[in-house]
Amino acid sequence: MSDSLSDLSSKSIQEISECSNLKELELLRVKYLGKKGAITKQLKALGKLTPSERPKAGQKINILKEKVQSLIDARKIVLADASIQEKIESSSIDVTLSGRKNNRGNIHPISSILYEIESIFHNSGFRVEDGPEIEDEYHNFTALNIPENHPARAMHDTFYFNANYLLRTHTSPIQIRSMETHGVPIKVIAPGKVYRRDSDITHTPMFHQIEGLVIDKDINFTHLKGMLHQFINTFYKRDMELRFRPSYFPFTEPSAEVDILSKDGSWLEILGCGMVHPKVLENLKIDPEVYTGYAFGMGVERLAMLRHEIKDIRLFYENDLHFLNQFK
Amino acid sequence: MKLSINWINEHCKSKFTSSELVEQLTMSGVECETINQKSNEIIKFDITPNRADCFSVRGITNELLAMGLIKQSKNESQSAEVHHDHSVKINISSPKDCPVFATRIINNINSDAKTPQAIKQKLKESGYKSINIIVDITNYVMITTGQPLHAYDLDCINSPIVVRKAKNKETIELLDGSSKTLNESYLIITDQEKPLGIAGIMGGIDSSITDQTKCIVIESAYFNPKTIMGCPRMLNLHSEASLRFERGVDPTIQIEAIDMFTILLNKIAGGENGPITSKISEKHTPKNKTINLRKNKIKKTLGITIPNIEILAILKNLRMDIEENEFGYQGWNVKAPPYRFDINDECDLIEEIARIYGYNNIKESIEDEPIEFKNESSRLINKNNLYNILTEIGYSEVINYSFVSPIMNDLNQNKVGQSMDLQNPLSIEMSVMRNSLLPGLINNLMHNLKRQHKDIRLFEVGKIFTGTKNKINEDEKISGLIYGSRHKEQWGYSSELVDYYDMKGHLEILFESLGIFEDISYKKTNHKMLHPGKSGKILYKNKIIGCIGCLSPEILFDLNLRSDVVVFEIDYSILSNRITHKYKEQKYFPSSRRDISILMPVDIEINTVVRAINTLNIKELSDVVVFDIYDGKTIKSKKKSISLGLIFQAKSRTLTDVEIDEFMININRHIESSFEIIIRK
Repeated sequence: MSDSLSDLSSKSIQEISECSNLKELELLRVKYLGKKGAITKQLKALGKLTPSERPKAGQKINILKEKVQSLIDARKIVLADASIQEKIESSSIDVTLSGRKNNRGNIHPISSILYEIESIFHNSGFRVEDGPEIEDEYHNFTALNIPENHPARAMHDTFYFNANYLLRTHTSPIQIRSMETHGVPIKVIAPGKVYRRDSDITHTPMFHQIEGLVIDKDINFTHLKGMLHQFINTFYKRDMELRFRPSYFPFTEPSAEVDILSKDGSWLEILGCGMVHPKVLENLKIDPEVYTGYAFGMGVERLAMLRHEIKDIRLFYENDLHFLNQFK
Repeated sequence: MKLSINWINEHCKSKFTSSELVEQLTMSGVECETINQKSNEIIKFDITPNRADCFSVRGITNELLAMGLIKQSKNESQSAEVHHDHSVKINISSPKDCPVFATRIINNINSDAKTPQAIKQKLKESGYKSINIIVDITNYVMITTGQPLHAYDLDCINSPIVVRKAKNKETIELLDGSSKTLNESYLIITDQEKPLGIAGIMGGIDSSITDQTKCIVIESAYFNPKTIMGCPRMLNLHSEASLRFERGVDPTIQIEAIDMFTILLNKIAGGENGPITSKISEKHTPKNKTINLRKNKIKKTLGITIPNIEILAILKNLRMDIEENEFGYQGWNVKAPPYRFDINDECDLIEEIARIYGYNNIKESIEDEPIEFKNESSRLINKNNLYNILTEIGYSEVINYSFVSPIMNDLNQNKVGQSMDLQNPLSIEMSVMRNSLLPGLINNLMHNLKRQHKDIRLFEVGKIFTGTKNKINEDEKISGLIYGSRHKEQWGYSSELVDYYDMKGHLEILFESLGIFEDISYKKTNHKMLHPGKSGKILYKNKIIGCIGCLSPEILFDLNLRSDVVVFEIDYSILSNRITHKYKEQKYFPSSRRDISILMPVDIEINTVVRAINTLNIKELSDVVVFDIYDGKTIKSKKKSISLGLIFQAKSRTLTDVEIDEFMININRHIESSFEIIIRK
């Protein structure tokens, strides 16, 4: 009995110290300490001894049991360390290799600017209005104080479908349509595509404009100047120097072009504006003695060209990925 | 219009540099720039349609006067001597169109006389070729005063001169060698038997001045701008005269201009002058009306108070007639000089005051407005959502022209209405309004393939156009196109080409983001552009919102493309259907999964099987995934093998194996009896 216990002891110590991986170690634990393990069996066999033999023998077995348990625990730590070490050593990667990814797409630069401007105006209380791209003569010209054969019609080389329908030459007809729908007071902007029969390095037959209109009882030129200056500062994210130059639009009077002072000291024209012409208001049965307002319009391509230093407007509509991919 | 700085300075008795002048004029609303030509600087003017009065040296001088930059000098208009009493009879049949018509006969002109160098130089700097002494002086007087003149060879004219509307199909040979066929909308000058010229636009070749001409009739007229307007464009014939007549000339300077011409001609080439004969219809000659200018309206429009004394100074410099109204307390009665016929209303006067006062001297202010809280723009939120999802999956946005070639429109089936055709397109490639965004995307694909891009993903948002008898439809769409590899070329991925299911997955992500995934379904479709076996219509709550599919093999063949191009086009308005879902309380109990493989005919859609399983309404069945599809050769022909993963999960307890086995028996029995399929063990 005693012999077999010491055999068990020396054998288990040897086996545990020679064990080389965690799986084997677990098997050894089962072999000695499991439900049917050798040491467990010894404990169960205590019942066969006389009561006087039992305590001593039991104590010996328990000492062995604890010893084996602690040996296994210690060995486990050693083996776990070794196994982690081995994993690290056997599995390193090339961290400089490029990551797994797919291409990301891009938003068209014109869309980005439209989005930005729409958002700036939305935040200051402007409603966004849309209108048809195929317009009638009345909304595109007549209602805007541009009668038939007026030389101002020559300023807009127009695409026609027939005597009445045409492709809108500016977003200004949306002014008329939104006043027809909502009446006054009104505070709207209207972004959209416009069309003129023109094509060269600075003109494409289709381009984008954003039109704005504010009409209320006490609106005057100082408000127009104040609002546009704030808008331009917001858009350029810095304090900009502006100048207002007299100009001509049939539907505003006084009319002005707005130039910004560029970093190189030259003036760049960026938008047209003015006080809504009393005739336009009268056309809509709005009393110009009570209501006044201002309107403004800007070319989106021009703003994009200035921002990204693009010289040829036609690039916007070639849709070449070499071009589009540059606007991340 | 181009003028040299010297000519302007000479006329104004001033010493401006061209940059001073350009700065001043630009800020008063006369856009111009310096173009350098050797020693003398030339200023090029870009005059807005309302400022017809600026088309001359005199006009620019008036502008400088208005700004107070020069002093007014006395207008010394002189009358030429009269040597004989020969004249032509004038017959104006339509005085409404030609209110003022003046002529003079000048005989015995020295046709050998040469145009003096000083005049030649000025004309050259303004872009005019020197032709002969007579033509050169008409041009010189026109540039100086703004009044176009026309000289006829007297020997070629059979009196009387008649001004009338052209007859239908009347033809005329013009100075520039062209021949025009006219109609009743044109005003012409004729003699007894033949047309001499198109009024206000160009003279005829028959009566034109030659190098031998000794006797002339010089004509100076005021034509109604409305009569001339549009004619140069219809004839595609723009002349220096038409440019001015179309916008309007000063109706009071015709006689003065003839005298100026005569005196200058006499000085250089002699000649014997007849009297000026003119027909003037006072009734039809425009006169500026008196406008009531109210002080409070100036304040209301401009938002500032300009002192009376400044307003008066501005109006005086503009050479307005001013009459005080209640001692200027209320305002003034103002009449513009005849050359400023663009000033008809109070608002025109206010603009004049504002521009001379200086826009930049008007302060800025902000409207008083109550504080208003605004939600973020839902329009922008939707756009942002769309942009983020599509760019993340690799789509780049394009913007195409709204007009395309008719061939591109024919690619698409156009069931509703006819195509919208432009009357005056730039070219046949841009002659009809697009009825789909897809042809544009295909063009972009081909362009980029030529530029050696390989994997291409594009989308566009824009309107399509169709017309019916009574209505033009504009519908906003969003379309996409993918082509090439599923993954960017890189290590660790084998190259696989995109297919229908890639794009469908992209759309599913989009619909999930809107919370409408459950309401979307797909049905097979027949779309002219798409592969009949690989395309579907997309339905939202059973209403068609668009289509998805691979381009038809015919199109691929025509474009010489070897792999699939997958496209979609859906209504943009679908993006506004953003649904806020209510929270469903969910406790977690572990789920269990069972996989089955089934062998089924290829023509049964997998979704119908999945739907059949769902009709059993097993509420513990939380999801069905299709994780493998195999239609390889080992399977009996016309059969495909699919693998389904069924996931079971109860809301209030952990399911037992026995329960799940029962569900599976049920499911297997149901699908085996519903379809011609075999469940593989």
